[in-house]
Amino acid sequence: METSSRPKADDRHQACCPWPNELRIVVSLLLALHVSAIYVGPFSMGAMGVTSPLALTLRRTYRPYLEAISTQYQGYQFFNEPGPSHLIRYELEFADGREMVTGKLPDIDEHWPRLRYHRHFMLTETAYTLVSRTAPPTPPPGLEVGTPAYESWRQFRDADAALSRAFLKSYAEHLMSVHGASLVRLYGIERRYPTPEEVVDGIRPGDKRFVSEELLDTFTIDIEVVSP
Amino acid sequence: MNAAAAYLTSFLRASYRDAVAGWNRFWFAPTDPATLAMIRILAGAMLLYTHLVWTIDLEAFFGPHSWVSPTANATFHEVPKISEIMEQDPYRGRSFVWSLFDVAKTSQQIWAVHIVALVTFALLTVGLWTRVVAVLAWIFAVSYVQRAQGALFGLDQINTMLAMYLMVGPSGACYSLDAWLARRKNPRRGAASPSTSANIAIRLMQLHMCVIYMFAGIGKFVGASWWNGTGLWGGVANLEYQSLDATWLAYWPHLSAFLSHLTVYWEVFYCVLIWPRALRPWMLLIAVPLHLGIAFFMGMITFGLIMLVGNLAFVSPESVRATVSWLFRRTRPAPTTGG
Repeated sequence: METSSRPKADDRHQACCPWPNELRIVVSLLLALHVSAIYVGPFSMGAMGVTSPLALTLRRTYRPYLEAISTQYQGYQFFNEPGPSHLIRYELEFADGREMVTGKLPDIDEHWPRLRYHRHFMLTETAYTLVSRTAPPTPPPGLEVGTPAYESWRQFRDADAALSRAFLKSYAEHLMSVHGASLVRLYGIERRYPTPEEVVDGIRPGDKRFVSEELLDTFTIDIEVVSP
Repeated sequence: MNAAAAYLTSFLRASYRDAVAGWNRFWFAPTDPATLAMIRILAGAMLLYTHLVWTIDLEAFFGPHSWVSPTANATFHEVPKISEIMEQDPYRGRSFVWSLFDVAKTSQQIWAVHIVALVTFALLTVGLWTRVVAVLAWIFAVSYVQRAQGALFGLDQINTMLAMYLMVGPSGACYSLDAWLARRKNPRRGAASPSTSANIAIRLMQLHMCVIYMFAGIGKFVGASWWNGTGLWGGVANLEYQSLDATWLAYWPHLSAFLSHLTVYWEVFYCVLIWPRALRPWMLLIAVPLHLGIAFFMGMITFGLIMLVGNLAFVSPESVRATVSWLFRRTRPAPTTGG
């Protein structure tokens, strides 16, 4: 008969992990699946549009779970490569002859508190990202029509074009709905930031020379493109 | 030969036993839920604030004529994904994204969802009916995020991540109305008992924070600015981000470059250096100025603060309890002496 007061290995184990073995095994499997999924999320997003075949296979496998728990877009690319900021200026025209209204997104004077300003800023950055990544309709030189490489390029291009178009159209529809406008012109504004040397030379970040603007799209009340 | 085989077998058995014991200790050792409860209060408050701000533009972001309309939002989720285009995806054309706003589409329904969501986040913060409310809070948080594509940033990723893990453990076991009510009912009830599910929730938060920082760090290797030391400058000199002017860094190029390099190294090695107990306080100490810098110089106060809340997962329950006791001692009025 054992009378030792030393705790047996099983007792020590029980104190450390009070759950029964069966439950621990099941939970361990679920934890392994979940932790691998949160790794696969950003891993399979790749960098600069480049991912490995392994990453794509893993993404394909985990996609239902990642989408269901809302981690499908988590690339954690927080401020990866700082660049210019992107804003939108809009012009609204009215069928009843009212004077043209202009505005911009985001507007630091209007959008307060700061989180609200940032939400509107993200709208304009998203629009820029979608528009800028849409390739021109003609395939790059050397890409033969009908080849698998062309087909893949075309699918990417069509998807990007559909998405950027859907977003700009949606912004225009929102402005029409809020203001009762019959025509919306959306301009993309890009503002680069000064280099440290430029600041030392007395140039401020708000200097007008850092700003450029181009027309993104024009939408009429029936949401037809007038001119790009 | 037999001796070598026997040695190898015993070595492999011992390694296996150690690995299993280590896994069990890591995941299943019960822990005091104090850290998890503190994260509940802070993440709950951030969820409440985030969604209170949505109130100002609720219909402009979630209504039928919102900036990103239901159609544009659906297009965002439904356009063929990279994995669908590049490989034969068995789920091709199917989206597993869900949101309560798929059902709540009219103005009244959207406001009803919003009001219930705000009440839920408030209840989570104060810790009333916490087990049920934590699940509802995650459902609401995900619903907003899945509907508001285009207006999201890092804050939303961390909010939903923390809400997800708050469902796992007993986050209302202390510092909550639940605990206060339980003590009122049974005054002899002691402090919250150690819990295995509290440990699992904290471990998941810790691992998720490691994944976040690792990919945030290695992502910075792609461009030139974090190599040439101007990565940080890109944040402080950008007028749209700038909230406090730190362009004086232009006169201190070595300091600016040092801070840029430190940021990258800290993010990349966080997943390793946060685990040894001797290094953990130093890693957390660097997190504070880094995220407060983002909060106050780059105008992303909410993002900076929620990252610090995520880092709290690495603070021991003993430290949390000691800090709370110290705070309450300081705020309690000093006893007056009769005169």
